[in-house]
Amino acid sequence: MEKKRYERPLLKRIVPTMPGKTGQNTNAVAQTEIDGVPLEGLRERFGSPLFVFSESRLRKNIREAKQAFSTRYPEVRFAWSYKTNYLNSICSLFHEEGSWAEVVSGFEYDKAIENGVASNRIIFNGPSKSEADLLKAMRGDSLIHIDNTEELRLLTNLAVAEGIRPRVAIRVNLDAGIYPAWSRFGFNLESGQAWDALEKIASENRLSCVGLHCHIGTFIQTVNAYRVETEKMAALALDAMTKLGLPISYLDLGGGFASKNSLKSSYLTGEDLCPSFDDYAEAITSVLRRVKFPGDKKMVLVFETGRALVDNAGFLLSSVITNKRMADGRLNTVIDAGVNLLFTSFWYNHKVTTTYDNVALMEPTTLCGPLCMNIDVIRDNVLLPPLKRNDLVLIHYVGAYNVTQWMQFITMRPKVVMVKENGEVHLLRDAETLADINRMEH
Amino acid sequence: MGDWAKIWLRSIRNSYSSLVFSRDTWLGVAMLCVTFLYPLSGLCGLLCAIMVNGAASLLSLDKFKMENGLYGFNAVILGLAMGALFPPNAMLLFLLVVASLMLLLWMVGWEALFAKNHLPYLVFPFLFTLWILLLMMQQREGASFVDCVLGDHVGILGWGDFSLSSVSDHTIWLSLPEVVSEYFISLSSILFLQDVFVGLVMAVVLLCHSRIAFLFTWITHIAAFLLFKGLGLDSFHIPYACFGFNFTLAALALSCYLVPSKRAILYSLLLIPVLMVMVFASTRGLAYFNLPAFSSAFCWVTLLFLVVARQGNGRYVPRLSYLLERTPEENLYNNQTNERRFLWYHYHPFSLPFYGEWRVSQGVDGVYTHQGLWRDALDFVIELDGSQYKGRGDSLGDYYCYGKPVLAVADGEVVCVENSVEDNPVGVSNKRENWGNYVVIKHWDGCYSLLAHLKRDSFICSVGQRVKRGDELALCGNSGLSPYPHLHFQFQASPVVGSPTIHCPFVNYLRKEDTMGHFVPCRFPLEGETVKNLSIRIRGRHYQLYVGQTLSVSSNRYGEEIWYVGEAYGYRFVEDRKRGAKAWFALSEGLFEFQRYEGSEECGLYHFFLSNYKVITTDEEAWSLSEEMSPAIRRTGWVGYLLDFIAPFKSCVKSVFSTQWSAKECVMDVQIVTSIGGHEHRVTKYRTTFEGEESLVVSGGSDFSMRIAF
Repeated sequence: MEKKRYERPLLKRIVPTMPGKTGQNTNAVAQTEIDGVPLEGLRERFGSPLFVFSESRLRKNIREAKQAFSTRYPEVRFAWSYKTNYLNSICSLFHEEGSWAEVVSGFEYDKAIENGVASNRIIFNGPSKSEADLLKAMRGDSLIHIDNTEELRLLTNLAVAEGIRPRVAIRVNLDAGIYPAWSRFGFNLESGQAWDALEKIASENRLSCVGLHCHIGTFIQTVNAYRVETEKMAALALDAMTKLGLPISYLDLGGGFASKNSLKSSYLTGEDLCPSFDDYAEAITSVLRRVKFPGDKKMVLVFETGRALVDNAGFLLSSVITNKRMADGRLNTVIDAGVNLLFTSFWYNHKVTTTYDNVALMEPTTLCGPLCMNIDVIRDNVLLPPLKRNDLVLIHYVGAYNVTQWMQFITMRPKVVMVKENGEVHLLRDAETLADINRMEH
Repeated sequence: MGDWAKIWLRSIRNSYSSLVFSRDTWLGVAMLCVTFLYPLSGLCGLLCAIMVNGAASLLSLDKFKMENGLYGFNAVILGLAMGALFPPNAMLLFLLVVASLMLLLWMVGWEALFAKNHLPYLVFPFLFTLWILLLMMQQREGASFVDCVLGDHVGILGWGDFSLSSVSDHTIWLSLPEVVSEYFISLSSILFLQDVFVGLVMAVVLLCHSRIAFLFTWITHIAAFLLFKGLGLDSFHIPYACFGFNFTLAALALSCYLVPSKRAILYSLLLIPVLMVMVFASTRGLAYFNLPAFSSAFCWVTLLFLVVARQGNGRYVPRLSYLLERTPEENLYNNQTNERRFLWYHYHPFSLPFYGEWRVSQGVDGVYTHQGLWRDALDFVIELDGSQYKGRGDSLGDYYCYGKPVLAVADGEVVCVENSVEDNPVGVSNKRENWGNYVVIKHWDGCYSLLAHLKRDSFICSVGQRVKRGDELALCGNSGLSPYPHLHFQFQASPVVGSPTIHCPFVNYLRKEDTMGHFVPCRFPLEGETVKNLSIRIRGRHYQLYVGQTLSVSSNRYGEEIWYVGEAYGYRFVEDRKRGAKAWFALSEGLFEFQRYEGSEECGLYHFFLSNYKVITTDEEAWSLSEEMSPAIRRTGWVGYLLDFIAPFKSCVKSVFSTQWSAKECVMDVQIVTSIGGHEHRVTKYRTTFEGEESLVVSGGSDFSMRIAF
């Protein structure tokens, strides 16, 4: 029998002091409350897992964003991106702060109308709008952002048939110097598709082309991309106004502003890396302020940013089910919230905190969800203090996309609450029950 | 009835009411009727009015003046006088025709002379025409036909003999105190009748028409009567009735031309002794030519007092009414309200020197530096959730206002730029170059604006450059006497930096409280206020009315209507021709406001006027504004009629229009509260809903709903 290979024991000196040149201080920082409301109390009242939103953070985000732009440029509008989070209370909060609605389906359109948004303040985006959707939007004088030639033809025909002159924009995609360049949505600028579409609109003269739309991508961490985008879009608007005589009055520069979340591919955390609203605003407005449009007209700037406004206002509160030592020696902590609730964990390293403060001894842990699926991993490797059953784990930056992309799979979707500015906690959405699931079956 | 007949009826009716400086329908009709108590006089008056108006229209003179009786009132009085003085025969008819033509000539002549000085010609044309007729008749030797026409009548034209016959029995009025009966006689003398009954009818009509005019005539009448008695003139057997109407007319004129305030009453009392002297002087002077004075004293003295009122600076002298209103009440209420409402028209439309919302961290007479000669200055910062910075606030970039663009407040020329001062670190002040980097813009001689503490090397303007309102100049910085980044702004009279400040208000901006923007028409922002310019983007085409436009309107109460947008004297109006209503409006940058309403209140236009009295037309999120409404627009019934008596002394009735706009629902809610002495009397509510870019729906009360398509 061959002699087994010697493995030396691993000794690690742990010094709970200031970070040395080998790394950051690994001391855990506890979070025991959200806006003054204790997490323990939230779990007692609403159960676990639980999505918690902070009203004050939501308001602060939109106000910061608005201020960053409106103190640099005279006409700025925000349209709340419904797909990011269409809980009615969240949408209403943004509408209350003056946001329009940006929707990408008939369902979202109806939702916006039910939330009391005037139909002429709804931007209808998206690559798949049905005839019924288009009719609804044009009758409501909504802003329809045309994605493709088929849609342009359909809308023109409908406009003729209905005798309405809908307000439209075309979606443009362009090379802003970043990878990947999203070219699957809208009309490409560099290849001349966008200009062709505009010429078509101008020559047919059935649609009122009041804007131009571009969304260069998502989670863009370089402000220079926006500078390039703004330059190109402003030039296109100028051409469309002067050469085609189109009544362009707004530029919708889309969204894509990064939140402070950390991408899996990123070495540094999002908190250190991602630009602020001020950085984005400076890049965009400093370009646009220098552009002279005919008749000293000022373009209205429209943004449909979602993620950056809501991500840090959402938390997922979860409880530890068990700890396991895996065969390879890694520690595996299982919590009651899985990837079915936290879709974004596939591309973010979500920040995770516990209620233990100042613990020096942290262990690299794999944080798993409760699903009976191997892919149910919230964090591959995160330094956590030793946890035991029923300990609270708080997952940060989960406000965007999760309560829209979550699925009912193996477990039910949990409750969603909001901590109001006055300290009250409101239930925004109830947990699913078996009856809800069965109701739809025959 | 055709339009033509309507215009004619209106012109005749207004000719009568204009005699007492009014355009009231019933007053005109009543006066027309009472003149026919003396059929001959009445007929002559009417004939004369018809002939003069006819001649005016044949000569293509101003239709508006004809329609409003401005040519006719002199004609009426001329006809009445001739009917009273001359015997009825064919020659009278001939003379009437000639006199009418001559009167029109005189009228146009006097008007050309007076109008350029903005003065009324009163009854000068009548006086001159009648005097000329009478002078002609004195040529007895050479003109026998006049002799046979007039017979002995010429002999009665001395002023002592100037008395008129009365049809009604005087004896039944004997029980009245003399001061009262003389009042009625004075009133009736305006129509060349001396009849207590006619005076009584006129007094009642006058009272119904205007309490203020009634009050004015009584005050001046009593004062004149007392003066007359006090001077002992009655012992000379001079009947008060021979000249009392001068005072009544003067009172009526002043209550219309002046804003009827306490000062106006004192002013008209001041006029009495002057007029009294003038009456006797003119009578004596004209007796020399064997002519009666008639109302010449009234004309001269009133004219002089109006000239003085125009020249006076308005501190002690009463103000002249801006327009000749229908009644002294309207005159008072409209002028009082408009003085406050349209104050901002007097100021240059300066806008705030930045984008977005900034807070005034130090206002006028601020405790730090805005004192003494430099009191009218403003410091602006940006705040979010009560803090001027994010993070720790120890680097300039943490401050929200640092590096934000600053703008020109009005068109002008850059006259001074300083760009050599380094920005201070946070907490440090540069006391040597205390203005830091700055720019001075000349708007006109004597009005310069200074923006200071700017960021070094951020200037995108240079000396000599023309800038327009809203143009970017530089970025906000932290240079000079500025421990924390802020923008210092002031107006000054000279281009030298650090000149004493002058006070010019900013016009039409929003004061923000939470998400609501409260509209500020015209003032300097106060310390602690967060302010923002109106958006430059116009929301929809709703209020962008242009002359020649037609609006189609349909309502459940008035059916289908068409409104027209017109223009006169440089002002624009929306007109409902069918119902004869006109709403005058002004459309300035970001603001639509109705200035005035004329005509029927039973029409959709009246509701549009009330519900959209003042509207911000730019694309704002949420705004509210409140605006005073003239009590003349919102009458308060009997109580209001009684309160008219004290209105010149104290205004008890107040109407306030307040409105709130929410862009989310595209709805504007309006509430008009009329209160008497602070107590709510009447509340009207409207809701305007905007549909698309080109139509809106006004709804009010329980059932009224009206759609206007622009």
